Amino acid sequence: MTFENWCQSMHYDLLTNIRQNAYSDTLIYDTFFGMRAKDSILDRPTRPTKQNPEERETRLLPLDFTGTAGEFFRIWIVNITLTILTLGIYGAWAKVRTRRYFHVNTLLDGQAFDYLARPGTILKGHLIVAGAILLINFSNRFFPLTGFALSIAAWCSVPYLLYKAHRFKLRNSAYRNIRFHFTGGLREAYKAYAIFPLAALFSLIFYMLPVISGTSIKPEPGAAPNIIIIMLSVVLSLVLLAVYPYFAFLHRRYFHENMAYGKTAGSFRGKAKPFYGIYASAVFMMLAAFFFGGLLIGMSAGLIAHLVIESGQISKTGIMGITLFSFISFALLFTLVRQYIYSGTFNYAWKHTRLGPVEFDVSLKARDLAWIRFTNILAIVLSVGLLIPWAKVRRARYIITSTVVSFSGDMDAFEADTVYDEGAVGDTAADFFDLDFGW
Amino acid sequence: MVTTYHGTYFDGKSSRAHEVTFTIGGKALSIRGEIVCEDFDLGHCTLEPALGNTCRTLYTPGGGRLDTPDRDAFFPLEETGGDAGMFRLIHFLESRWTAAFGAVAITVLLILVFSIKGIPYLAEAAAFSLPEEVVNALGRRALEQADRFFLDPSELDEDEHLRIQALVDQFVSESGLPEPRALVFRKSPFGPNAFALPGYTVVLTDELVSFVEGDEELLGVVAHELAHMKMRHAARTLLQGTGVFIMVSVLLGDVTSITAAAGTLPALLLKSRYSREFEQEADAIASQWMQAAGYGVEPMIAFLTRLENKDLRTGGPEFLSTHPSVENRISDLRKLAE
Repeated sequence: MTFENWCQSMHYDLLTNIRQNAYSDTLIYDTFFGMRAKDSILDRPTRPTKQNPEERETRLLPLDFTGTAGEFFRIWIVNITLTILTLGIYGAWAKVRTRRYFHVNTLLDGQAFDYLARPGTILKGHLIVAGAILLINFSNRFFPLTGFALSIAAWCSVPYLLYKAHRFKLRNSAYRNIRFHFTGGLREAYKAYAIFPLAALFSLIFYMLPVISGTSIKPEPGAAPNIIIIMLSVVLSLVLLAVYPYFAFLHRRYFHENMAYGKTAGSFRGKAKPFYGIYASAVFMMLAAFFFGGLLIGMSAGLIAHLVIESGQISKTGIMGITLFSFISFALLFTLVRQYIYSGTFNYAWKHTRLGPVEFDVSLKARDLAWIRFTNILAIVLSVGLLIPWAKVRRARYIITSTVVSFSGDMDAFEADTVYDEGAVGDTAADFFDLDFGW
Repeated sequence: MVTTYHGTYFDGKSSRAHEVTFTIGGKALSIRGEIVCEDFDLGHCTLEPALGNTCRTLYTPGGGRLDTPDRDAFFPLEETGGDAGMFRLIHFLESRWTAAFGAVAITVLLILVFSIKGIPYLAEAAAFSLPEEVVNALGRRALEQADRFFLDPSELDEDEHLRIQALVDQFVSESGLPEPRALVFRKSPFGPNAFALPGYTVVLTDELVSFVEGDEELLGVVAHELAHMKMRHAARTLLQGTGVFIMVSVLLGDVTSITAAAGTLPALLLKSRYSREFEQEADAIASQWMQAAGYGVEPMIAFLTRLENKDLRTGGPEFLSTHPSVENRISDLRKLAE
């Protein structure tokens, strides 16, 4: 059933794309080279302001993480066992315990964060999302037209789900018993998350036009390729590439400028330009790596071809070796580039975010993140999954302890806002498809 | 007896941390600090379940929060059972390595039982309860898509088609199969191949027809594919795939992150294992039909042997493959023939 597999992987790719488009991979373009941004809070004087003697000195408070891999392993395995034994129902409680573990072990100024979502709400979200996924899967197989309509509907709801997910995530996070919340509107969510995927979809339809209109993708013998279509496709792809960093910036801004802590609203003074710098460097890194990598693989392939001619037989190990080598080097390259973009945009966005008297300095480094990601995958595969908790704690610890909060004023002076309840459907969907910031 | 504990109190209105002492007597909670003087009924407070080594947290009816490093301070709330009591038990399990090892053992056992017995059993039950029309529709759709993407019309003579169809019809009546099956002929870029689509359609490629030596070999291949259809292997493969997907999702909680990436390899191994089991089953049933029709298993063995000799692909190890190795298939066939 090759075709079914193809459909599945296509479906999966589309979801992965939504995820990547929706959240760009965040952090700061200068950290890769180990430099610090000019306006870093760490470089600013920490003298008390003369004009206002009441105001305290600016304090630099690093975030601390106290979770350990062993402790989290035990929570994780008990979670999994109980989830299986209850046929998935305990999954909602497991999720709350896991998230709460990471929140409660994150300390700022000696006080822990807290996670307050109710498992009942998450269970409801789980049931709705599981029902929707099964319905879409079932329809795709047996009633393709209905399935297609449902998939379109699911696609259109992604910005709404992200909007709900932001609200749920922040509303249920608290520090010093004051909850965070999200003030962004639904219209802005569609502006930030829907326009680019829509443009990408249109260009995809354009590329697929010959297939959709019924002509086969099998090349007709002797048929000349349509130059105009090819040119238009190239132009379209370049335009998409050129606007992508701007949308990555919109995604970040949507979250950061709408964050609020109690009655204290957040603000974001980031610009789109640095995002272009980050993505341009990423593209440059990819091109350079493709060039040298291609050269290397071409040379070894040539060597093998030479050996084949000499000995007259195909060397299976040689071909396996080259395939494995190329696969690992490209996996490494993509990990590095992804983490480079993530660290660059993430660092930049947090450095330009203010929450009243609070400012942030995040100094993630792409090579550290890539190393952590790559060794984590290796460890997970080699341990048949048993090191998943270790990998999660390790990455969380790195990201959390790379964050410094600068604070001028009175830590006791924040006020709470009115608390309301949030549904968990968006959160569940976003979590399931990993539409996540991971802060 | 009333014990005094130390803690930190946040009133939920401002971010100010109050250093307090508190006492619990029966159902009464009294919190006292520099400017805090609050009394609550414990029955109206919400106790956060204990988690790892972190401090205990109690939410008061007015939205206040009381933290204490003393993990047993709120024991009176937990000993009454209910949710708090259940979480005390869960935390007890989470705190012990022996429980963790036990949980690993139980989890591995449950995953094995579910993947080896549970999923195939459920998929089989579901596949055989699908109405005939649905199965036929699945097969028609799959053939349409295959035609669009990689199959070309057959270039063999119409007479050859009719001859092979007649041969298969005769074989079907000889071996006691209930209905005649329609064959579909196509040209394929992937060389000699035959596949069964759901709903009684066997696709034969031109390359296969010219590759086999003698009609008996061709009948062996058709019998194998007919056996796939009789057992509804195609539909069961789809359903088992869904089952594996659900199991991995429940275990890992998502489908796209790093942990789910780790889930793809075991899922792949499991699906290849299912596929090999179906191939074995199809070989077994086909060999019975071949013997009933008087051809014996030798044509099937001859075909497999020649297919392997022709095949120059860099074949991976058997546990990664969708088909059992040819040696194993041949030795199984010989055993069945005895």
